[in-house]
Amino acid sequence: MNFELLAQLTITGIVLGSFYALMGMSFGIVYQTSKIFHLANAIPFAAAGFAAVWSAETFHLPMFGAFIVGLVAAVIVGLLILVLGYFPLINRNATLLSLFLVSLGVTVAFPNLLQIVFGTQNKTLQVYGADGTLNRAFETQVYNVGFLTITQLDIVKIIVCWLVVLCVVLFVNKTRFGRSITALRTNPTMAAAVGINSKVVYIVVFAIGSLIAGMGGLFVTTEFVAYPTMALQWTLIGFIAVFFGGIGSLPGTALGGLLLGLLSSWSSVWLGVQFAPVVVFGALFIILLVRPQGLFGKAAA
Amino acid sequence: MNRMRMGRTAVAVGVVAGLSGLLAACGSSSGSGTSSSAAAASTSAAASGSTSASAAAGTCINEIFGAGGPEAGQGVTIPAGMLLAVTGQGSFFGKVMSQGALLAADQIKEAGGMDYQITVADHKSGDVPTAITETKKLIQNGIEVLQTSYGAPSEAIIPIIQAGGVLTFNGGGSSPAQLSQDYLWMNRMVYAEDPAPGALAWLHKTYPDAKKLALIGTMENGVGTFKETAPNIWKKLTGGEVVAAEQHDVGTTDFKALAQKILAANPDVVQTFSFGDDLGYQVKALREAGYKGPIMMDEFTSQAAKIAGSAYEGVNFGVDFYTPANPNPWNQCYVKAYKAKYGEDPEYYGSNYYEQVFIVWDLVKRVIKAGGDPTDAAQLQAALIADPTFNSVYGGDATTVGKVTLDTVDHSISKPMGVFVVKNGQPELIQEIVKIKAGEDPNSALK
Amino acid sequence: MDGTSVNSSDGNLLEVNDVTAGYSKRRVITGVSMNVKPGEIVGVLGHNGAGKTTLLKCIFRMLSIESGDIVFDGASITKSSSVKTVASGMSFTPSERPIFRDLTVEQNLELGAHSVRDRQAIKDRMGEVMELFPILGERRTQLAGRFSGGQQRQLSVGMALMVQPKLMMLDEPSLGISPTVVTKTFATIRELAAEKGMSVLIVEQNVKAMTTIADRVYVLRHGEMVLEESGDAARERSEWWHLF
Repeated sequence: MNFELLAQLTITGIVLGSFYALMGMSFGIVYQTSKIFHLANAIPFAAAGFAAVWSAETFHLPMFGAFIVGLVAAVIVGLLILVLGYFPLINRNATLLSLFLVSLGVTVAFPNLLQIVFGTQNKTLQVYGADGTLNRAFETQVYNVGFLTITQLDIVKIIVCWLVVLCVVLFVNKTRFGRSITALRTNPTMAAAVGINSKVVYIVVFAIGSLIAGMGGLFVTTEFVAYPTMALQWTLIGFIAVFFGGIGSLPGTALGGLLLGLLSSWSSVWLGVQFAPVVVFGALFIILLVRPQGLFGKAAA
Repeated sequence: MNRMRMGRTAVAVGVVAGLSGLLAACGSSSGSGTSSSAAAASTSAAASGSTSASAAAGTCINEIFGAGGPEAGQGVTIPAGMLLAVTGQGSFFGKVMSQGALLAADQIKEAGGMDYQITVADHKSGDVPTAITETKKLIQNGIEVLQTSYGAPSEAIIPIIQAGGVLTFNGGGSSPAQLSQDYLWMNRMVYAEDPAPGALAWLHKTYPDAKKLALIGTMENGVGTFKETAPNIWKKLTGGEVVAAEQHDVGTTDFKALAQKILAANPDVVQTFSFGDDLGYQVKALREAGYKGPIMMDEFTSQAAKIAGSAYEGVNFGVDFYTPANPNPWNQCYVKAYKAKYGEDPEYYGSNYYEQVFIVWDLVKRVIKAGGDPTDAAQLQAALIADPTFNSVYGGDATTVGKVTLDTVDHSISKPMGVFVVKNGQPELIQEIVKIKAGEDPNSALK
Repeated sequence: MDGTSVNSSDGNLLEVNDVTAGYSKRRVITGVSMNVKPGEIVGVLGHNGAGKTTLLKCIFRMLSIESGDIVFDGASITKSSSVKTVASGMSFTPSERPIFRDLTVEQNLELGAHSVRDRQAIKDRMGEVMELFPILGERRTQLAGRFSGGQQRQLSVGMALMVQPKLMMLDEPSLGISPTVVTKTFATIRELAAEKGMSVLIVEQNVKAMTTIADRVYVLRHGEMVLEESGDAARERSEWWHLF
C-alpha cells in the first residue's frame, strides 16, 4: 500500500466530496421540501456557466461580475421552471410523476436550446485584460505541501462548498422561514392548516437550490469550460448524495456527498479509475438495501 | 416498520427507474427532434452557400478539378447520407463533419458537377441501436453513398451497408475491425494504431533516457494499441517497460485520481490514446497533479485545448493532423470558402468529410467517362479500386495539391502524419512520421 | 335533505351553499349546504368516505370546489385560499398527524400562529395555551413526536387556539385517543367555546362523543347531507346506524 498515494487520493476525495455535498444541498433542499424529483436542477447549473461566459465577453465584466450574472441567471431560470412548469400542474393537483415528466422534458430540451443559441463549441470563461485582449479568466495555482499537491481552486471549492452547507443548514434549522420549510417538508397538510403559503416556500427553496446549482456550474466553467451537457452528471451526483446521505437530513446529505467523494477516490487504489461510477452506484445500492432512509437519515415513524 | 421499509425501497426503485428512464429519454426524445432540424439545416445551408462564398469557390474548384458540365456529373443526383453525432456529448464532431460535407456538395454543384444530396442522421454520439435504425432508414430512402462516424456504430452497420450496397466512408472513428470490409473505406488513419509507432519513436529519439512509459486509454477505441502495440513498440525501442496503464470511460471529466495513480508510478513519459474533450481534462489533471514530463497525445482539438488552457502548452501529439495553414492550393481554396460560410477555420474532422465528397465526385466522373451508371455504388467502388489515389487538402505544397492513397486491400488510407507540439495554444509540426507495417523497425516511422 | 333546514337566515358565521367538490374527476361531495352560527358547536357525522374531511377542506379553502358558494363572517370565501382563511379567523386541525412531530412544543405553537404578525400577541396566547394544557408548558422544549396521542391532540387544539379563531374546525379529534381522554378533550372544547364565544365545527364518526357536546348535528352520507337536527334531538336517538 502506497501511503503517499492514499494521502493524495484522500485530498482528491475531499475536493470531490465537497462538490458532491454542494450538489446534494442543491437538489436536497428542493426535493425534501417539494418532493418534486427536480431533474431540471441541471438547467440553472448550465445557465450560470453560459451566462457568465456570455456576460464577461459582451459587457466586458470582470470575473466576479460575470459570476454574479451567472448566479442571477441561475435563480431566474430555476424560478421560471417552477412558476411556468410546476405551478400550473400543482394547481391542478397533478401527481409527482407528471411533475417529474415535465422536469425530464425541459432537462432534455435545454441543452439543445443552448446548442442552438451558443453553438456546440466549448465555452471558456474569458475576461478582458488591461490591454484589451480576451484571456482565460482564471488559471489555478498549484501548491505542494510536502508530497501532497492541491490547487488553489480546490481549496476555494472546499471552503465555498462547506460554507454553503453551513448556511443552508442554519437557514433551515434556525430561522423562522426555515421552520416553514421543515413544516412543509414533514407535514404539508398541517403546514397549509397553519396558513403557510406553500408557493412562497417553494419559491424560496427553488431560488436557493438554483443558486447553489449555479455555483456548481460556475466552478466547472471556471476550472474547465461551459458546454451544453455540462450539468447532467453533477445533477445525478446530487440525487445520489441525497439518497445516500439521508432524504430527511441536509447535514446527512452533505456528509453523504463527502463520503461518496472519498469512496470514489479511494476505490482507484485497488480498482481502475473507470470503476469509480460503479463504486458510487454500488455504495448507493447497498445503503438503500441496508438503510433505506439513507446513511444519516432519520427513520420515519 | 415494515411498511416504512417498503415505502423507502419503492423510492429507491423509483429513483433507479427514473435515472435509467432519463438516460433513455435523453437519447430518444432529443434525437428525433434534432435530426430533422439537421436535415432542415442542410437545405438552408445549401441555399445560403450559393449567395456568399460560392462565386470565388467555384472558380478555384474548377482550376483544380477541371471544368463542369455533363461529363463532370452535372444533372446527376447522388442521394447520400451522413451518420453523425448530431446530439449528445460529441455533437461538436457531428457539426463540423456535416459542415465539411455540405460545403463540398455546394462547391461541386457550383463548379458544374454532381448534385450531392445529403440527409443527416443522428447516432446520438455513438449509440449502436440508434445507428442501426437510422442507417436502415437512410437505405430505405435510397442513399447511394454514406458518410459514417465513430467506431462502434460504424462497425455495427457494416452488414447493413454491405447488404444494401452503399459506398461508405468513415473519416472519424476508424478502427481495426473496420479494415478490409467491402463497401467501407476509411480516410483517416487507423485510430491510435497507425501513428503510435512514429509517436513513440519520436519520444525515444527526443528523450533517450526515458524508460518508464505510462499509458492512458479509453475502453472503447484504440484498445488494441493501448494493450499490445504500444507496450511492444516501447520495449523494442527502449528496453523499458510500461509502469502504469489506466483506462477510463469516454466522456470522463474528472481525471484527478487517474492522474495521481499515474504520478505514483513515476513515469518518464506519458502516452495517451484518449480522444475528444477527455484529453483536455486529462492533461490539465496530470499537470495540476504535478506531472512535469512529456505527454504524447494522439489528437488535437481546439475544444480540448480550451478545457486544458495553459496546461496544453508544450504537450505533443502524433497524428495525421490537418492544418488550415497548409499552403496547398486546394486547401487554401477550401479554407477560404469554409471561413466565408461558417465564420471559423476548418479542422481535422470536417476536412476528412469534405474530402470524401470530392472522392465521390471523382468516382462519378470516372464512371460517366467509362459509360457506366454513376448512380450505381458498385460501379463507383470498382472505379475506386481501379485507381485509389485522390487529391487531398493534406500534404502538397504552395503549388501542388496533396495526394492520398487508399489501400485497396484493407481499405485504409495513407496520409502525411506528424508529431506536433502545442505552442501558444496552436499546434506546430516538429517531425514528419509515416505508417509502418507490423514487424518493421519503429524507428523507420520517423521520416 | 331529510330534515328541512333549521335556519338559513342571516346571522350565520359560516354558510355553505350547494357545494360540489372532489379530487380530479372523482366527485366526493354533491350539493352540500350547511351553516354554523356564532358560538355554536356543530357536528357533522358520517362514515369513512362520506366526504366529511373533503367538506372541511373545502370550507378551509384547501381544496378547489366545482360549484357552490361559501360565506364566512359575511364575506364570500369561495375564491379565497387557506392562507387567507387562517388570517380571517378560521382554524383547521386535520385528523391524522395534526402536529409537527420533528419540532418542539414551542415551535409547534409558534407555527400555529404563523399567520399572526404581532409577536407580543403570540407570546400572550402561548402563555394562555400552556395554562390551559399544563403538560405543554412542562414539556415545551421537547419534540412533539414523542408525545402520546392524547397529548398530541391537546397540542393540536393549542395550535388552533394560537390564531384565536372565530371558527375552530376539528377533523375527528377523537381519533387515536382513549375514551376518557376523548371525554376530557370534548369537555375542554365545550368550555372554550362558551368562554371565547367561538364556533366549533367538528367532523366525527364517534357519535356518542359528538352528541354530548353538539348544539346541532348534520349527517353526511355518500357525499350528500341526509339529516340536520338539534343536539337535543340527536341525543334522544338510540338508533343511528340506519342513517349512515
